[in-house]
Amino acid sequence: MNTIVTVAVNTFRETIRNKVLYNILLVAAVALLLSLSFGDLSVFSRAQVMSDFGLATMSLTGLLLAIFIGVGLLGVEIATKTVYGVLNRPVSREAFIIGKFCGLCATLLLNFILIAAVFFVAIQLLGVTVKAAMLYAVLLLAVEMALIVAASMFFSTFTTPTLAAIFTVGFYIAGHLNDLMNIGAEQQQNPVWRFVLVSLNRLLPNLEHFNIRTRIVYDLAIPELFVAQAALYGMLYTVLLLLCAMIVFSRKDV
Amino acid sequence: MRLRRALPVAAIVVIVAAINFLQSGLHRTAGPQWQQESMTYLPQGERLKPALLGFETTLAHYLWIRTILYFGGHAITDKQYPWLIDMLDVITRLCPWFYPAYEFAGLMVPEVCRNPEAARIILERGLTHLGATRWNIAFYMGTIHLRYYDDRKTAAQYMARAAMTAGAPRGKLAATANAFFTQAGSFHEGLQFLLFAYETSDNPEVRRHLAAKIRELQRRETE
Repeated sequence: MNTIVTVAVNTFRETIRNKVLYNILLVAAVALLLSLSFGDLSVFSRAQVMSDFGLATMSLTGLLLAIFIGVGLLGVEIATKTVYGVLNRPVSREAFIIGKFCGLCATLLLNFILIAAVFFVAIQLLGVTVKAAMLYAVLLLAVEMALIVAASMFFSTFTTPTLAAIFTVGFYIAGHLNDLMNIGAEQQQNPVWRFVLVSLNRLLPNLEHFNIRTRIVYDLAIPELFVAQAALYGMLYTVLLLLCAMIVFSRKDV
Repeated sequence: MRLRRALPVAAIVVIVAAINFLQSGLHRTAGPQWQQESMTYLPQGERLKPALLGFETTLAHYLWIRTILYFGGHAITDKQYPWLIDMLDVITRLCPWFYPAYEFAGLMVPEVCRNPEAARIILERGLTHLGATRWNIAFYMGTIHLRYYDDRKTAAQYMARAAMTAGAPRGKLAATANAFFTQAGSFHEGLQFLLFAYETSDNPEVRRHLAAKIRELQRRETE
């Protein structure tokens, strides 16, 4: 347990020191403020347009952050073999992966809190009422990004940082298109193809479960327990990806 | 030394001026057709949706801003809006809860695009998604049926639906629906609707207004 905490704290310190992170944060804040200004151009439904643009910007910058810290840290450490330094000490590979993930998640969470604070303060200043339900949207975004970090860590354990980043983007796209595979499977006549599509549908996470922006912005009903179920779904998937990463990493000859 | 420091600043100023000059030159060269043609490639909403990875509402909002700019741009120039219907159609397919697009479809499309049928189709979508909360959508439908199809009975049915929607000016809309029913020869349907509106209303002002209307109709019926 102590090892995990040590690795997590060091990872957190390391990522916080990275200047690229601050550039992403700055871009996020500027993009957020710019996107909010679109609300005035919409003439009608200003509040909805502002809230939606703000949440969408948070989602995109969150994705950027997740890929950057997920691939940029573990992937680069494995590629440059600096990981030797840690693994030569009495640190198990499993503890290393968990510690890295916790450290990265702490960084991601801190950044997310900062971006969310900018968003909430900005829309409040612009005269838009901040709805408590917006916090649910931000919470599910954070869960989705933790899942993306886990996916990028998993890909980093067996491929180069560039490929891991490409795979992570592909994972994100496939995750949001998951519903289509189900529809495709239902319409497919060929049993082999149907099996492939159903398997992909079951295997890949459905990232649309974390997207409740439209429902929040338009005050549409969100079924009770939905947020809790979606958060649990995301956490379970994250654990699954971390387990896969641990298995691959423990067999890796570094 | 001072000249060496001033040179880059001067260069920046010159380049920024050149960029601005070129930008307005490009707008002039492209002409008004340019923006219009850019909408040609706007894909159908249903095809577009899966490719947006959960950002369909954001794109709908972005397209709405483009629609406002498109409408404004043409309103002060040629007053032709060939892409307005497509834009509103895509917006309402991507985000069927976006009310201003329906308002625009109900008010502008039949008049400025001379296409009440397109407005009717877009408003049908609005009724499905927002019909329970926005009385104006059923009201616009009623207006289109009255004005462009001369179908008073359907217009009356939509007015009746608008009247029964939460937050609607029930008394006025119910009287309008009743008038259309009567003009369409469905006197009893109109009376039945007024009675129903009277029984389901809790607003004393509206009830008084409807009661007077019902008494007047019943008197006319006995005559």
